[in-house]
Parts: sequence; C-alpha cells; structure tokens
Amino acid sequence: MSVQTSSATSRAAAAAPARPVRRGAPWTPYAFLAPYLLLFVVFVAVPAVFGLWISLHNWDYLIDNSPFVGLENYTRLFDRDSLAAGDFWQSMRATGIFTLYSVPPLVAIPLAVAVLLNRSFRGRTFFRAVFFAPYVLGIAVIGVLFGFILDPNIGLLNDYLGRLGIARNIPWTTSVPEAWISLVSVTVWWTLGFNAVIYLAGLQDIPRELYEAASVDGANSWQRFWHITLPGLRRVLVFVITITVLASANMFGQSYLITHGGPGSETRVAIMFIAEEGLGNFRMGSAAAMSYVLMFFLVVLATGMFAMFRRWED
Amino acid sequence: MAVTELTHRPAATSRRPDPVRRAGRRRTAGDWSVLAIAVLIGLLIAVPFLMILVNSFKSPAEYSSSGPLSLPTQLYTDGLQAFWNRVDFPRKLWNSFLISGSVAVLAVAISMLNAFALGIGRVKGRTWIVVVILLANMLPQEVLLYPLYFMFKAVGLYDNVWSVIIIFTVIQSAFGTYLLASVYSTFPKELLEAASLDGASRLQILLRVVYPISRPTLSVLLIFFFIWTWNEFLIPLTFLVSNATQTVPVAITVLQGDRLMDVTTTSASALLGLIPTLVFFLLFQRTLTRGITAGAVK
Repeated sequence: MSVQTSSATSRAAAAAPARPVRRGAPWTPYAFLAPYLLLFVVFVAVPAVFGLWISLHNWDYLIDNSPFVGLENYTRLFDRDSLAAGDFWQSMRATGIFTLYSVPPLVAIPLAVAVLLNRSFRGRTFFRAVFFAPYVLGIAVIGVLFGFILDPNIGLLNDYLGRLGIARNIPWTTSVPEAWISLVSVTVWWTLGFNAVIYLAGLQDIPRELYEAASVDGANSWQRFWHITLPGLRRVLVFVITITVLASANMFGQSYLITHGGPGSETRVAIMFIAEEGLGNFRMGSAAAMSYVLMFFLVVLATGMFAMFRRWED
Repeated sequence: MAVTELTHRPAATSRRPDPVRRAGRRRTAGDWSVLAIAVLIGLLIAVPFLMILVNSFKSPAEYSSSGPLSLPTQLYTDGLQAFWNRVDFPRKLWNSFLISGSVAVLAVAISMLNAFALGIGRVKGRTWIVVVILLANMLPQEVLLYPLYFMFKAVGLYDNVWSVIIIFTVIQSAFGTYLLASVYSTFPKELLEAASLDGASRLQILLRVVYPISRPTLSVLLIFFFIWTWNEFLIPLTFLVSNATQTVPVAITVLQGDRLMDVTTTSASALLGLIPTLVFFLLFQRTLTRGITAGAVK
C-alpha cells in the first residue's frame, strides 16, 4: 500500500530509462553493507552456530570441562521417562494452549474495533489514540500493572467485584482456567490498538463505491461486512494472523510476571521454562537444545501458515 | 513510498464519511450507539491506568481501610519515594535512555546504509541478502541467549549496557533494512542521476540527496526503534544484572515480591514504569499510529 500512494513518483521513475546509477567501483555497495554484515556475522551467525555446539555438551556450571555428550540433550527430550522431557513438553503445551486461546480474540476484537473506528463520529481520532495507548507500554509495565490488579488477595479487581457484590475471591492468577482468561484478556488489552490500526489502514483502502453499490442492491450491514469488508481485508488479515500467531507462540512476560507460571506449572510457557533451565539451573546445554527444538516448531508453524495462506489468497 | 503516505493519510480519513449508514434519521441513532460503544471501550482501556494512578498516592493503611476505589484523602508519596530511592530510578532512566537512544540512532544509520546499497545500488544476490537478514529478525531471541551469554562473559561485555546496545542494533536494523530497502527501490532515479552527473560520490548522494528526502521515514523508524528497545525485557533481564546497568523495565520487575513492596509501593512502581512511555506516546502519538499504517502492511 505504501507504494500505491506514491504513484506519482513511481510512475515518474518507471518512465525514466532504466539506467542504473553507476559511478564508483562495483564493490562500493558492499562497502555500505560491510558494517552490518560484520555485526551480523559476529552477533547472529556465530552465536547461532555456537549455540548448536553448546547444545551438544553437558554445559553445567557444576562440571568443569563441560563434556561432549552428542545428541543426548535432544534425545532426552523425547525420552518419556526423563524428568526434563515431562516439564519441557508441559511448557510447550502451555505455549500451545495460550496460542490457541489468544489468537481468535486478538484477531477478531481489533477487527470489530477497526470497523467501529472506520465510521465517522465525533472524536474518532481521540478514540483511536486511546485504544492504541496500551501498546506503547512494555511487557514489564503490563506485568506489574496487572499483577497488582489481578492479585486474588490484595488485588484491585477482586476488591471491586466484592464491593459490587458480584463475586469475591476469584482466583484470577492462581487457578485454571481463570489464569488463562487473565493472560488472554491482558494481552487483548495490551495489543488491541496495534492490530486495530493495521486493520483500519486496510479498511480505508476498500473503495467506498462497493458499499454504496451493495446498499443500492439492498444488502444489509452484515452482508456488506461479509461480502465486501472481509474479502477486501484478506491480505491484511493474513498479515495480522501471521504476526499474532508468532507473537503468541513467543509469549513469555505475561506468565512470568502475572501468574509466575502457576498454578503449579500450568501457565509456564516454553520460553519461561527454557530460561529457568539455563539461567536458573545453569543447565545451558540442555536449555540450548530446548530452544532449538522450540525454534524448529516455530519454523514449521510459520511455513505451514505461509503455505496455507498462499492457497487461500489464490 | 511511506514518506508520501504520511501526508496522504489524514486527508483520506477525514474525507471519508460513514460508508454504511447515511440514510436520514437512522444516522443519528447509529452515531450515538457507535459513540457509546467507543466510550465503553475507551473506559475499559483507561480504568487500569486510573486504578494505578489513584492507588499510588495512598498509604497502605488507607488502602486497606477505604479500599482501592476511593480517592486518596491526602497525597501520600512515601511509596513513590521509597521505590524511587530504592532502585535509584534516575539511574535506570538514564540507562534506558542511553540504550534506546544509541540503538535508535545506530540502527537507523545502519538501515540507511544497507537500504542504500540494496535498494539503490547494485548488489549481487540482493534478494538472498534480504532473506537472510529477515530470517535473523524472525529468529526467536532465546536461541541466541545462551551463546551470547558466554560470548559476552568471555570479552567482559556481560552486565555492560553495550552488550544490549549491540544486540538490539542488529535486531532493529534487520527490520529497518527490510522496510527502507523497499522504500528506496522506488526512489526517483533522475534525482540520483542528476547528482552523479554533478560529480557526487556515492556517499555524497546518500547524505545530500537520499537522506534529506527520506527523513520523514527515517524519523518514524527512529521513534519505533526507541520505544521497542525501551520496552525490551528478556534480553536486558538476562544481560544487565547489576543495579548500575539495569533498565527501567527490569528495575520495576525485580523488586516485585520484595519485603519493601507494600501494596501502594507496588502501585507506585507500576506508575513510575508507565510514565516515561506514556509521555513518549503523548509526544509521538500521531507518528506512531501513522507509522504502523505506512510500514506494516505492504
């Protein structure tokens, strides 16, 4: 879309002869790339390979020379009897549950909000800003804020509900499914405005004439939404679903700060468990292996989604 | 180009009236219900902020006697002061500002160099390079966590703000390169040619032609890199362990559950954590929302 709006400049560029600017040695572009490529190799490529190396060793601070153990850190994860395997797959399950519960509301609610904001009413710019505001807060602030509000004993929400006589002592963070409801609701509150603003941009690119023609043909608002808005938003929807699924699968701060992984380890998601294994128990080799297994699942998930959406877009 | 997008958008939105209900009397009724729903959602968004604001200025005794809903009877600032002093808040603010500011400036500069080479210059296998850079951006951060932990320990950069500055410069400039390269690939060729006919070198073209024209896009990137870096949590939590190097987000979380943290001090810590980003939001609100519509969906 960003390209469309500058049609004037891009048309001018297309009209000009396609002669590339060619002054200076052919290697100059590489000189411009050099600083980044250097940083990239040292701080991304080398660590990625070094991480594999770590995962092949028993890298434990209790053991001096961190012996080579081959694929043991990986095979252990698929051994039903090992303790680490149980905890690891439990945390992968928690990540899966959160993704499953959080993606539908995170995709649907902002869409409804965007449709609302796309209508003309007084103060819509103001409301757009208000709805977007929580997105600028970091997960740390969100965690402390809602950890305080949702605390079952001293928290504000239970006190409020109690005073209204609705309910008392709802275990917002200490029982399932309440803990999942809390985590999903907090995430919706936090990122609603971000997805809504993306949808809004897509909505404004749908030609108004389509709606007018549909109204003349007697389509009601639901039919217009179903037959004009949704198809018009297809590419935007694909984008929003993709980034939302990946963000949810990478969730960490919410459960680390609000439910502390509890009750028990019900909401301890994969990243949180891997961090505990490596930085809490200092079993870095095992933690590195786990993070590669998690990455493998994320790559499979991402590729699967791209393949699915490609078929859908055709 | 995102640059023109920024000036286009407001006109487009203000010209666009309600596309659906425009018929006669139903319009006012519909408008009222839309406004009512908007106010309701707005309240749901605002209530947590208000709860924190009200309770940060109460004493713990007042909190337990009159409850979280009442307004404070007197302005109690002990909680705020206790937290402020305990974590040495000005120091954390400075650390966060130093890290986010350095990352934003460095990452914009590097993105610009990369995008100039990839979008305007001739680079063999440029698609391949962009794909690799993007892959690095999608790589889950925790995969790099442990190797970087050992590497930084080995060279003495562990618990040093520069470790975090370097990591986020690499991560943010991956995204910046991807975005800017597509912006620069639509850059008017005749401007570049005119400059090179005048004998300008590549660097001069970048600094005197490309940079000034793409400044609006660069400033959007700068603002986003700043706020994204400011809010980062897992990596600063891992690499910045001492009081002298911690950032605001790390500082407000490490004391949770501490003996010092009574009810209203907890509230005060949340308030202090959210004030900097909220101020930032109020200053750059328009750029932030427009930046998303310009850059995110292509």
